[in-house]
Amino acid sequence: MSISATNWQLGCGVSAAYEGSDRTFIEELFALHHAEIYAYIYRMVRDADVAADFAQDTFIKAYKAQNSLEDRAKARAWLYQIAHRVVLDEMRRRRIVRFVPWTGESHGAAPSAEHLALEMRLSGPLSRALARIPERQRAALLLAEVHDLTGLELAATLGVSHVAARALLTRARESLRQALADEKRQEKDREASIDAAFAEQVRLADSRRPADDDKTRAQR
Amino acid sequence: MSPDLKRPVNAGDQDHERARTLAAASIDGQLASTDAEWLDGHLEACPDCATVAAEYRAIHLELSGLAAPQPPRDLWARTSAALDGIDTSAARRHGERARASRPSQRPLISTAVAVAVVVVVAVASVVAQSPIVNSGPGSVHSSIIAAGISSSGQPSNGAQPPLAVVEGKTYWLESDAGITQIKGGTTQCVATDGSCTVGEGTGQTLGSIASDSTVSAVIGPNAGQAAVWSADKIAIVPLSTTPQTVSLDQLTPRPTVATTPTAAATPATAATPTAPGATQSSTVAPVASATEMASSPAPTATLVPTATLVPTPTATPVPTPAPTVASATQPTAILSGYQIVGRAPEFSADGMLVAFSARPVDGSAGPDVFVWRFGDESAEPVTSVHADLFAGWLGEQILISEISDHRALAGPSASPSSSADVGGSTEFVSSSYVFDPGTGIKRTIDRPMLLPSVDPTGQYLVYWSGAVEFDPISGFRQPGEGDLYFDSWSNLTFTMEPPAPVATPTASTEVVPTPPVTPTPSHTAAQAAVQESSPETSPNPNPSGAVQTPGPSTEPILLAVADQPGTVHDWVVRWDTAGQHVAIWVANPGSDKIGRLKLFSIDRATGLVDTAEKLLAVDKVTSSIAFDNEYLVYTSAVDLKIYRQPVPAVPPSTVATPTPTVPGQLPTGATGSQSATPQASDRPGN
Repeated sequence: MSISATNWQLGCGVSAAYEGSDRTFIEELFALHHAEIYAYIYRMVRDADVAADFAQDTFIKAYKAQNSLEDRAKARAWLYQIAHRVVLDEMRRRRIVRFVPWTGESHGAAPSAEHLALEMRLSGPLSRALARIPERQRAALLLAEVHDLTGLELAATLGVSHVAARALLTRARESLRQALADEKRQEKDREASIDAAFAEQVRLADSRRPADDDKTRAQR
Repeated sequence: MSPDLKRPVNAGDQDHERARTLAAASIDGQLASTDAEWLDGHLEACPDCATVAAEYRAIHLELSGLAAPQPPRDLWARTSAALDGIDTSAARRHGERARASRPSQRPLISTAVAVAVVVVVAVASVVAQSPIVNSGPGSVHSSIIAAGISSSGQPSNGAQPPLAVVEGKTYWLESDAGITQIKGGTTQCVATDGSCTVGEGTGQTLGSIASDSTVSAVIGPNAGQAAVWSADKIAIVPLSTTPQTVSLDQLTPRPTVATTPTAAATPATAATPTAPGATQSSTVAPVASATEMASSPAPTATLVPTATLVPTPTATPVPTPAPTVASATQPTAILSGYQIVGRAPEFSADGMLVAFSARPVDGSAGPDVFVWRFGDESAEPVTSVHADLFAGWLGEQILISEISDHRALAGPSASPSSSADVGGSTEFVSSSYVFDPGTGIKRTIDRPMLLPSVDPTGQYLVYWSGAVEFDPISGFRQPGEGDLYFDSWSNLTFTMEPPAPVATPTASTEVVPTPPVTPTPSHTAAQAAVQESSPETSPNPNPSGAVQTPGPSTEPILLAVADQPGTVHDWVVRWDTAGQHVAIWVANPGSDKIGRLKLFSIDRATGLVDTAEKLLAVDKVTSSIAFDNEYLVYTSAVDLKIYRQPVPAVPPSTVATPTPTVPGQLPTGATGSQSATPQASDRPGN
């Protein structure tokens, strides 16, 4: 509601209300790309609430800066570029890496079953490994591997040369490979320790059984 | 065990590193043939590097199969709201720049959602717009309905502009830490200067609303309930001295069980079938409408309204049953996912109905008018054209303004002046109509006007007329150059339309038995078509095309309330219960919350308003104005004090008869620069 006596938001539909304005362009961009932009941001920050905030910021910045987009055919990569900057800037500002729990739970709300199911898939060794590599490398990998940006688009998004982008991507793959190997190794170790603990419990249970049997027989 | 790249580098290691780099690069695309051949050869000879290359490919496949998180459903709503905020700011900056370069141009209107400070906005009272109620002081109908806006994120300190003032009791909003409280207390006034204080932490809490967003409210009759709304929800909240905090964000509308009257309702009253054309009045009927009637197949009965449908110029109010004010007992969310547009919601006089205009928060459609009936779980739309604004209650009927696209009217045979002025650009026209939610009958006022406000006796009205503009920056349609006019209801003519389900353009024309007038053509598409077919029979009384002003023969009186003619873009109209005074607040240029207040007297013997002699003219006043018995209550924006201005009785024969004003010209005695009257000279801001 307006603070004026009358709120004149009389827009009668998107096309009519914003005919000829750049608002339509942003709305179209949102319709086309908000899901993948949100997904990219979510994979970077792994928090639904923060990802929603950052996605909103991305489209707001895009709306404000749309004059900087020279070729609208490249709007998708341009959006990713904005989203990438929003994520890195905000993550540094908020130091969100330290604060956001990697369980992916939303702040102050119990996660839904749907959310938990998604988290089960996202929080496997690969996602944990992704979380361990440097942010820029993670961004490069996600943009290239998951979101299918071309080499040139990746370079533009990351703000580096094509060669530098490829080098970053190569380092990212190696970092992820090692991190994933480490995660799998740790997971294997955890499973081994669990197996060992279980075996120990079984052994203890077996060792107590004869005494129990004797006691039972004595009661009879 | 994965190969470790951090070993000391030697010639062999350099080969391994090159192999792994090439293996990684091969994921993205094809390598140069020489590199590819070298890599293949190396991988065959180096099991460790082959393992690494395989792991790269596995990671690539695994990354491609990552689950895609779904964005929250409200992502667009919140983003759109944020974009609206940007538009608003841009519009404001645009307006300021425009004003700097063109001082006479009106400022753009802010539509900011987030409000940093507590601001109160008043809207026309139920009493003021009820033509069938003329209750004396103390009756339920003297309740004043007002709207307030409070920022839930900002604590409010100090005196608050009133939400409503009823019988000396003042209601206001206080907000702190996400809790907005509706409070009521006795106004303390200083006899010497008429200033009053309210708020400042005193008063009794009658309602408590928790929300993460800005909360606004209107108080129902007798302060028994309130309509509160946030950016995307409207709810009815009971008021009591022991209020429970209502979490507005958690309230969810439930399906309505009871039947809600909508436009689809069957006409129950005033639907007397007659032969087409039989309702032609002996007075003047619009030629265009008459032609339309003749050409219309008239698939349905022509509707003749009864006297109860039309506020007549008779002085005797229509008797009504003993007023019983309904009050909700449970908080009820009546609409979710919509934002209020236009005037604030308003209760009917008996508190049984609430009407408002709203549009989806995602901006997917324009505003429609909704009505909530006491006992229903949700509000129902009564219009569906997505371009309608709630203007006010008219007894049990609703005054609605509609803004339509002028291009639909400006066909090749339309008025040359009109189409020439349009010049291919989009022009909007504003029309208003009386809508009966019980029958769905719609009576369009045959005169362009926006948000008319009718006095309690139903004899007079004040409305805005001018050019509606589309602001490309904000994307909003809003008043452009225009003014407020005073007129007699009896001067209006109407075009009757049956309920929406009846598929006919318009059914007939009904003319209130009044002195002959020359009505302006109705701005419906159907009538436009008639005009196109017979332009010679429908002279265009609007030669400018863009600026819509009332026809001169109907003698509307221009109310010179702004600094300069044509600069009224935001206003509030209040009537006293006797219909003898009308107070008008007009936003100052560049402001949307501070403006100028003027009080006019009405000579009910002549039916004219005295425009030459203002009883009160105060500058720098908030839009929260109200009549409370014999006082006009307003809040100074200078000291945030509430002032009570006694309203003098109007001697029947002492009011000068003003010269009827041709729209676009100032009335006799009025000047573009208006000074404060002596009565107001001691008020702050003068």
